[in-house]
Amino acid sequence: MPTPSKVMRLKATHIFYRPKDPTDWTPVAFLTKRMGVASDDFFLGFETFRSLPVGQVKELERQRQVRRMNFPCEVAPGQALWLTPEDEIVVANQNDPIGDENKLVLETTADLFMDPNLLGNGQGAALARSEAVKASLKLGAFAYVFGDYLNYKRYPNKTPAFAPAWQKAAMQTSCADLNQLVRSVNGAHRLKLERLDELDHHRYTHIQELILDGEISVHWEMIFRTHVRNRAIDIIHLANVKDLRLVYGLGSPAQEKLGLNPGKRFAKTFDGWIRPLRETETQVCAFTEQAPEHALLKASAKRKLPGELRKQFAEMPEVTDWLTDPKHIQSRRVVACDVGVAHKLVAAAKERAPLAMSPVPYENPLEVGVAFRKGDRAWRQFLVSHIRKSWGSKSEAIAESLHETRQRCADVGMHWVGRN
Amino acid sequence: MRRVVDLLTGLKKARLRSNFAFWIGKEKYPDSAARSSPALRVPTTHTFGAWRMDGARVAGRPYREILFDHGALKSDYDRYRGSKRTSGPKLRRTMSDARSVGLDRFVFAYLGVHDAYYARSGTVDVPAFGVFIKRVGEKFPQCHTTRRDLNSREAERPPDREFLLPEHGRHWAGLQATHDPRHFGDFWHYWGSKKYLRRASYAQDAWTWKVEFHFHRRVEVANFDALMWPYELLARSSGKKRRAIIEEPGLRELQARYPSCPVVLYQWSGSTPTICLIRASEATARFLLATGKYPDTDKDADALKSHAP
Repeated sequence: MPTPSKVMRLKATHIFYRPKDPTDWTPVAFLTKRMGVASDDFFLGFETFRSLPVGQVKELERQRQVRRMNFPCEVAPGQALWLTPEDEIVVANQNDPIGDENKLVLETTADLFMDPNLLGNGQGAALARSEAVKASLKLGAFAYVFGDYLNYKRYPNKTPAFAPAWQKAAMQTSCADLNQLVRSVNGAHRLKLERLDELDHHRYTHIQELILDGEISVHWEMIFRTHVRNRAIDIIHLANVKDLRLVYGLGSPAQEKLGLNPGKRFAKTFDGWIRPLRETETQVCAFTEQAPEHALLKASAKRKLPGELRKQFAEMPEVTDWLTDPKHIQSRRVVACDVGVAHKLVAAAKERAPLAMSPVPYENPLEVGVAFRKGDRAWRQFLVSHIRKSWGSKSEAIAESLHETRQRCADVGMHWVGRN
Repeated sequence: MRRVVDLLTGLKKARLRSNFAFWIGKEKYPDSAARSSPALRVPTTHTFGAWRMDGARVAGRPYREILFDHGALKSDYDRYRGSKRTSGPKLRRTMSDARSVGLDRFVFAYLGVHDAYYARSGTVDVPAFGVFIKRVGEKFPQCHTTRRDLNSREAERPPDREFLLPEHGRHWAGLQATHDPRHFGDFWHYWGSKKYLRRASYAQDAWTWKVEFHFHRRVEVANFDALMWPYELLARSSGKKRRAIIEEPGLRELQARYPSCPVVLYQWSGSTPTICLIRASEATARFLLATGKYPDTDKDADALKSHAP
């Protein structure tokens, strides 16, 4: 048994099932393991003075007292795991979890805590529907963008966006549900599923504005909830992402000076890669309004990264030019971007210069999911109920699509937290 | 393990007395040394869970079964007689050596702090309720004790000499707390204390030295001296916390049915799911020994804090 230590780092691995409260966040008991130590022993939360052997944890799993988490996450003293009324497991401050800016949703527990018999006919669901109808009448549309984020392997070829069957099913039932209710209020009106113009893909600030202006209700493409976006949008949480990529020229001064190994992790912490950039005066560029740029802005605000080292461009050709410009061959330059964009960038620059990439972590893992207007509980409840309905389907196509989504998420470094 | 005798009719008082004399002689303890020990006064304890989950579904509420369905703590034999349930951690915990000597027909209680973690099985009751059992039921032959949990490596095998009269069990615990060098003369080290739990070896071994009480077939709720009842702090969207008593309707029902049973509320936390009960149980026992009554959670909050470890 390990000796208790103040510096022992723990990660939460299992949660104990428990009844939830319909309105407030409830604390959840959980099991932990030491980080960075090869040991099979588990602990009860922060109680590191005695351990549960792996056999007993398996027995608890078999009895369905505990459940292994899809996204084991570090927990520190002062934090707790919470079960929300929306059936999510969140790691957050133990005293003020809802106001905690660094809270992170670890699980979308739709398949854990939801009684399937309640789907679609509970009082809450009825309320959600009527509220959602009012909202959609006001907004006038139930629009969407199919995600193509998970398509990076097919770049640069133009291929149809990845539209998993579970997502299609959820959208169709929610649209039909809304239309049925809309007809009872306004017979002539009919909602349509609309797709944003191709050019609006990845213009997240624009999409955010559309959501806030009521032009679109829901954005179905996977969106990263950064600290900046968090003020305007909420998400139906589907995955977490821990890492972004540094992209650089193979054999470039930046690679040499920083000691970057293609494909190999460059640093274990956020500060662990920001500091070397600052110390070597390496310029770092990010795409405007994307999550890595938000991370760099935060680093600058905290005086960890001088503003003059930070660049941003909106378009792929500009970034490609900046990184491969022969006039600046001796400059140290890297691009910080998420993995999907990194693959696009490598493909776009193929003819001009060979590029490579190395994973580095965000300051905190980011939540990824389907976006809607901040604090709109009616939309949230409505969408969650339809996503659950599609996940609960016994169709093989749905099961396969869930498997494929999980696989594609893993391909781009995201950890799927939804149903398997 | 070999069955000793019929534990209700076969154990003779004279034999149990001689067992006590044997252990006193073996350890060379003066038999009058423990007369003022808290071990003679502190109630025995028993712990059980609030829920039995089956995934997201609540499959059972042990506290309801005990308090309202059975109206008593029941021995494993009585709880599972005629049932198909043949496996599970609870049964394994009490049904191995215990059943082989006939102890499955008895309710177990410890002369020690409440603990929701069971070392032998790794089972955890989250959240947990804790009973303090009245001493009036400690009458042979309906009740007897063993010097150790029979699964303890310190227990003799066969266990014939382990069995003691209830009063001798308490006396033995007092002598151990005073004279066994590993307890440093501190009764609370023997009984169980949060202060010492920081040591991994203590957390692992504390159950092995405690006297175990056995009550024949059942302990009625009327014989509960007090009940530790968990509450938790929920987070509201306003940013404030709300105190929520776990299974509150059950508490109201208990107070209606057993108005004289004191209830001590304690704060349960998912991050430290067992130590919160240990801390509250120790503070309650200290308060009881100091004042002769159980604390009123609201009125005596400050006094209870001063008794907290």
